[in-house]
Formats: sequence, C-alpha cells, structure tokens
Amino acid sequence: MNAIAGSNAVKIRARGVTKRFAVRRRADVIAVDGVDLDVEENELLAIVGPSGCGKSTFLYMVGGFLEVSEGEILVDGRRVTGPGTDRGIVFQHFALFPWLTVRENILYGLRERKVAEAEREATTAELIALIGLRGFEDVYPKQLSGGMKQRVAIARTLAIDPEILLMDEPFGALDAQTRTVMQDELLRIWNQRKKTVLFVTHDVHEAVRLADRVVVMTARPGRIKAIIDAREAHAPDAANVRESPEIARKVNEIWEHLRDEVALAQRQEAVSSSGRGG
Amino acid sequence: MARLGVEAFRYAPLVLLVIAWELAVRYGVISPNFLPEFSAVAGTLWALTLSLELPENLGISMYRQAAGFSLAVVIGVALGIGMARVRAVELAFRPLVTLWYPVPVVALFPVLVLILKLGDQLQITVILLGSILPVILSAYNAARGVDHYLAWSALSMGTSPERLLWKIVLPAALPGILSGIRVTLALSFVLLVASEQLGALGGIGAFTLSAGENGFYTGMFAGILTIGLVGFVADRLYLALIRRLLSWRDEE
Amino acid sequence: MAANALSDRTTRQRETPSWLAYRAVYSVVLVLLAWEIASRTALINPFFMPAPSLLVVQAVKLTLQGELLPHMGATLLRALGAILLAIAIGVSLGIAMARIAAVRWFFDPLISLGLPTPKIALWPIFVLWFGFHDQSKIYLTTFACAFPLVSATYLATRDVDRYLLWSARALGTGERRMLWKVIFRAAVPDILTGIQTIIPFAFILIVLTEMLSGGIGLGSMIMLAGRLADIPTVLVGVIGASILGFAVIRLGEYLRARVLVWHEETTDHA
Ligand SMILES: Nc1ncnc2c1ncn2[C@@H]1O[C@H](COP(=O)(O)OP(=O)(O)OP(=O)(O)O)[C@@H](O)[C@H]1O
Ligand SMILES: [Mg+2]
Repeated sequence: MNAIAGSNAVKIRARGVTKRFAVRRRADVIAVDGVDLDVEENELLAIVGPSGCGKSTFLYMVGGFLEVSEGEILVDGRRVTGPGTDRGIVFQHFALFPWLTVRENILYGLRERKVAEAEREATTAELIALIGLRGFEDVYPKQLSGGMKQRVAIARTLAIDPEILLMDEPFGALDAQTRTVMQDELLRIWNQRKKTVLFVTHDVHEAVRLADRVVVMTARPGRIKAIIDAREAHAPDAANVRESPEIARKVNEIWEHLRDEVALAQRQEAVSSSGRGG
Repeated sequence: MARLGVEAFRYAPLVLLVIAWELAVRYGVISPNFLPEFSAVAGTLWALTLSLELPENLGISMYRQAAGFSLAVVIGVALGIGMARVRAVELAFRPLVTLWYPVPVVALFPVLVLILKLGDQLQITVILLGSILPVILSAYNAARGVDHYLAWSALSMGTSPERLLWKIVLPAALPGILSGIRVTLALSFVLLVASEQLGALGGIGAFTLSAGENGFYTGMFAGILTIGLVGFVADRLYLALIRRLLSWRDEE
Repeated sequence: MAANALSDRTTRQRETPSWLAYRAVYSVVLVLLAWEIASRTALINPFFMPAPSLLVVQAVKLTLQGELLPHMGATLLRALGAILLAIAIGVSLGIAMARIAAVRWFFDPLISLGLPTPKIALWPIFVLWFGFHDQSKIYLTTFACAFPLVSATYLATRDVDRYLLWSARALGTGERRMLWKVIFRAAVPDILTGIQTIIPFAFILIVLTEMLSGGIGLGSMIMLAGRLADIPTVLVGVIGASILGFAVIRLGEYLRARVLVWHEETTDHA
C-alpha cells in the first residue's frame, strides 16, 4: 500500500486508526478499520467512498471531536487529543449557529480569538464578498438556501485561517455553477495561502479535479482500498484551471475501484434496515 | 381602518357577552345577588382603584409573583442545564425531581405556613416550589438536545470547553427553555392566587376571597377581573418577548 | 446514508431515559433512606420532616381508623368527574369551533383571553353560585381544564379539516364515514395529549378547592390536620394525592396506548 509515501513533510499522519461505535443490544459498528495515511504539508487530499463507509468519522477523528478506538493520529508530529484552531472544519450539515446572522457567524471565530476589530471586520467583509453573499450579511441562517448556508460554513472556517482544512462534502449542497466557482475558489485559496486540505466528496470528478491524491475507501468497515495520484491528470501550467482529457481517465480508474464497494454498501444498507424493521 | 374593523369583529363576542351580562341582571333574568351588574362591578373597580385598595393589594401580589417566578426561572434553568451537563448534578437531583414530580405543591401549604409563618416569603416559596419543575425539565431537555455539531464547530473555532455553556448551550437551548418558562408563568399566577386564598397577609387573592365572604360581591368581581387581566397581559408580554428573542428561530 | 448515523443516534437517545428511570428507582430509595436517617438523627427538623417510616405508620393508622380511604375516594371521584366533564365539554366545543364558523367566531376571543388567566381566582364566584359542596369544586375544575382542552382539540381538528374537505371533494362518496375516520386518524393523538395534560391539573385543583372549603376529601383532611399541626397526617394526605394523580396519569397512558393501537389497526385495513 502506497499510503505512506512522499518526500514532503508529513502534516497529518494516521496509523492503524480504527473507530468502533458501541450500539446498545447490537454488535459494535466498526466505522473505520485500521487506516494508515500520510497527508503531506500543503497537499489537497480527497476521500471518496460509498455512503456510510466512515469518511465523516475519519474526518471527525482528525478534527479531534471523536477519539480513536485504536491507533493514533498525529498532526505536525503531535498526537491529536481534541479540537484545535489549527484544524478548521466544514461539516456536512453546516452546523451554522442559527441565532447568529451571516456576518456574526463568520465573525464568531475571529471574536473568540480576540482578533482586533478593524482586522476582523475587514476579513469578514472580504469573505462575504468571496462567497457572493453581499446584501445577506444581517440575515439569519433560516432565511438562506442550502447552498448559501454551505458557503457561509466555508467562509466561517476560512475566517480563522487554519493550517488544515477538513471539509465534509463541502460543495454537496451547491448547484452546478456555484459548485465550479467554489471549487476554483478553493484552489485559489489553497494556492495563495498554502493549506493542507482533507476533503470528503461523493463527486469523483470533483475529487480528481481538485485533489493531488484521491483516497478510495471500502464499504463499512472503512479501509483504504486505493490511493490514486491525480496530479498527473492536471494541466501542468494552469494552477487554477484543471480540465484535461486525463481527468476523465482518472475518474474512470477511480470508479473501477469504487463500483464493487458501492454495491456492497447498498447490500449492507438493505440488510441492516430489514434487520431494524424486524 | 379595515384592520380595525377586523379586530372589532374579532373581539365583538366579548363586548356582546358583557352587554348580555348587564342586560340580564338589569332586567331580572339573573338575580343581582348572584351576579352584580357589569356597570356596578366597573364602578366598584374604579372606586377601589381610586381608594388605592386594589392597587395596593395588586402591588403586594405582583411583588410575590415576580420574586417567586424569577427565583423559579433562575434556579430552574441553572439546575436543568446543570443536570444535563454534569453527571454528578444529574445523579444528585434526578431522584429529587422524580419524587417531586407528582406532588401537588399547594397541598404542602399547611406545613409551609408552620415553617415560614404568614408573610410574603410564604407565597414566594409556594410559587417557587410549585412552578420550578417545568423550567427544570424544559431546560434539561433543551440542553441535552443541543446539536453536538454546534459545539464541535465552536470548539474548532477556539471556544474553550468552559465557555461552551455560554456561547453555545444556552443560546441553542433557549427556545426550549423559553417555552417551559411560559408554562411556569401561568402556573405562578395560579399558585399566587391559590396561596393567597389559603392564607396571606394582603394580596389580591386574599382580597377577593374576603370580599366574597363578606358579601361584597361587586368588589369580589372587580378583584377577579383584575387578576384575569393581569394574567392575560403578562402572558401576552411574555409572548412578545419570546418573539423578539427568538426571531432567528426556524419554525417549519 | 448519513441518515443511518442519525437514526442510530436517535435510537440510543431514546433508550437513555429508560436507563435513567431504572437508575432513578434506586436513587429514590436512596433519598428516602437519607431522609429517614436525617430525620431520625434530627439533622433535619423531625417535626416538619417526619421520617418516611413514621409516615407509613401514620398512613396505616389512618386507614385502620377509616380516616384516609373515604377522603381519597372523594377526591378521586371528584377529579374523575371533573375530568370526564371537561372532556365532554372541551372536546365537543373544540370540534364545533373547528367546523362551525359562528361558534369559532364567538368562542375564539373568550378562549384566548381565558387560557392564560388563573381560573382558581373564580373560586369565590363558584362558591356563590354552587355552594360549598361537590358542585363548586367539580365545576371550577371542569371550567379550568376545559380551556386547554378546547384549544388542543380545536388545533388538532382544524388542521385535519383542510385535508378532510379536500379529499371529501375528490372522492365524493362516504363523506360522513370518512370524516369520522380522518378525524380519528389525525386528531385523536393530539386530543389525547390534551386530555393527558389536564389530568394532574385537575387533581391539583380538586385538592385545592377542598382545602378552601372543608368537608370530606384529601384537601380538607390536609387543611384540618395542618390547623392541628399534625404534620404526619398532612404529609400522608399530600402523598395520597400524589399517588392518586400518578395512578390516573398512568391510567391515561395505558388508555392512550390501547386507543391508538385500535386506531392503528383500523387504519391498516383501509
Ligand atoms: N455515533 C454513532 N453511533 C453508532 N454508529 C455510528 C455513529 N456515527 C456513525 N456511525 C456509523 O458509522 C458508519 C460510518 O458513518 P459516517 O458518517 O462516517 O459515514 P460517511 O462515510 O460519512 O457516510 P456519508 O457519505 O453518507 O456521509 C455508519 O454506518 C454509521 O451508521
Ligand atoms: Mg458523511
């Protein structure tokens, strides 16, 4: 397995990471099973895998929200013991604070870190412009569409400028156009500020287009099935625009790995839901 | 103008009822010993207001209600959230809450009189003990139901676990807490009036009861109207407050 | 799906309270034990907080002297009477309000005005009208309980109504039968919830009016014992009232389960 490789400094190192959930009166759910993975500094790494295979769970462990059952996760060589501002996260379901306006949501982290007022106002204004929500600053999340909420969630995380960005299907709720714009924005920010990005997606094309490497996970219990280098598919000169015939080939390659796992996950789903009904 | 008309139409039944009351008594359908004329009640209400007898008793009652209710809210919210967040607090208070739950607190009045003697402290205690449970339960349930992703978000943006309570748990639990407090508000008025009827030094409940016992029926009705009005206004003010505080809430 | 994780989480949450309730039995025993010891060692004033064992003795004594059960019976009967009367009035008025515009017009402002006001304040009026005996107690309690019940029934039935009219028009036939079925399918759970919430309230009001008027009943027994500073009897009365209330609440839960099971079965055939 070529999960442990690369010449650059390792930013995130996972060794034998396993997560078991205790479920009452049923066997434990093994969500993640013995994952070894090195994410290099400034790498953009995508994780794809069938639904329920443990992608979010893995991300939460890197974020320090869940404890690993076995193994360890190191960030900059230090063991992860809890959440920290070095790792920003965009949750699958946004988790915006409903009692704060768009502006206050984005300001939240800056205020918590006691950033000077002038600076935090400037950052916030800039981010609101970036996500195209000018005019919505003083609106509460309930008045936003799913895609708008997602953009606020991304801006809120970018505001604290973390070294590592953990993103759980960050563009899942966006329409096709906004999605492309936000993808390019992510690339731009990544190029500009040099961040290590770990993001989960269901969109294989998006994974190939954005990521340096794509991790394919198996159906539950989630293991690493393959790691595909996508860099060779990117046009060498253009950092921001990544379209080439190579991409389609990579997408196919990943789908070959993924197909069986998705079918397996669907069977699991059917079994567990019929088991629950009976 | 049109809106005014709609409102007038809406509340017309109240006016009709009052007119029917007045006419029924005036034309002898109902004996005035049974139900004094509305106009007589209104006159007494006015006279009692001018003589300050009603305002003074109302003031005494409102002080008791405000004190008992505020104590119930503050202690209840603290206890409910404490039980939801701290296992030791939950283990310590859960059995007390379980035991307390079915007890009709007003029935403890005779014991409380012996312990506390007559005075404001008696009514305040009855209100506190009798109306705290809805606050505790709603705060407990609301604080337990806080979406953990909100807490995780805050932690990853630099909020310390200690500050999580103020920054996340309290605002996220606010809708649930506030709806529990509305029940407590209504309950606090019931307990106020009941405990004043059972025994009190002054207060609108005691005033109304003794007016009835002395055959001062217009005074009795005037007092009852006052109590009803105060309870109604308090509820409406509270609703307006909730609406302001929770304008961010997403009601599907 | 993510729904998977969610549903797993909800099943776990639903199981937590029952675990706590199970624990609670032990902790309640613990509290009683602590109370017993504290009272026996005069850590808390044994005059105001007599030990639970003394309360048991007192309860047995009162029962043998025939001084507990008649009171409990009177309170229970009054409360049940008031609850049944409130159900009859509240549910039919609520349905009438939902279905007949004139009724809605007349009662809507009265209900919304009366709902948040403390009905116990009307006690002197009810005494004036109905005297000191059963009637005033039962009627006041009925009156007070009717408000939330009308409101619950009205809301439950009104929301059914749109759907009812809509589907009745679409199908054309069997309107009356469907009215019955649809109303029962959709409104009954909410109406039952309304009934369940008035049960404890009814007990409190009956005990309270008994305390205010003397005669037979737990409330009167409590008040009389209080005047004689006979605290064990007061507490036995309070506990008796709690047990009665608790039993009827449980009965309500049981009946609800029965009614809703029956109702699920009938809808399955449809
Ligand atoms: N708290 C929990 N308790 C029990 N099981 C859990 C818990 N959280 C997650 N799981 C289970 O672990 C498995 C992995 O969940 P996870 O949310 O990580 O999947 P995912 O790959 O992110 O799926 P999706 O693509 O649908 O978001 C699922 O089967 C889920 O049911
Ligand atoms: Mg997920």
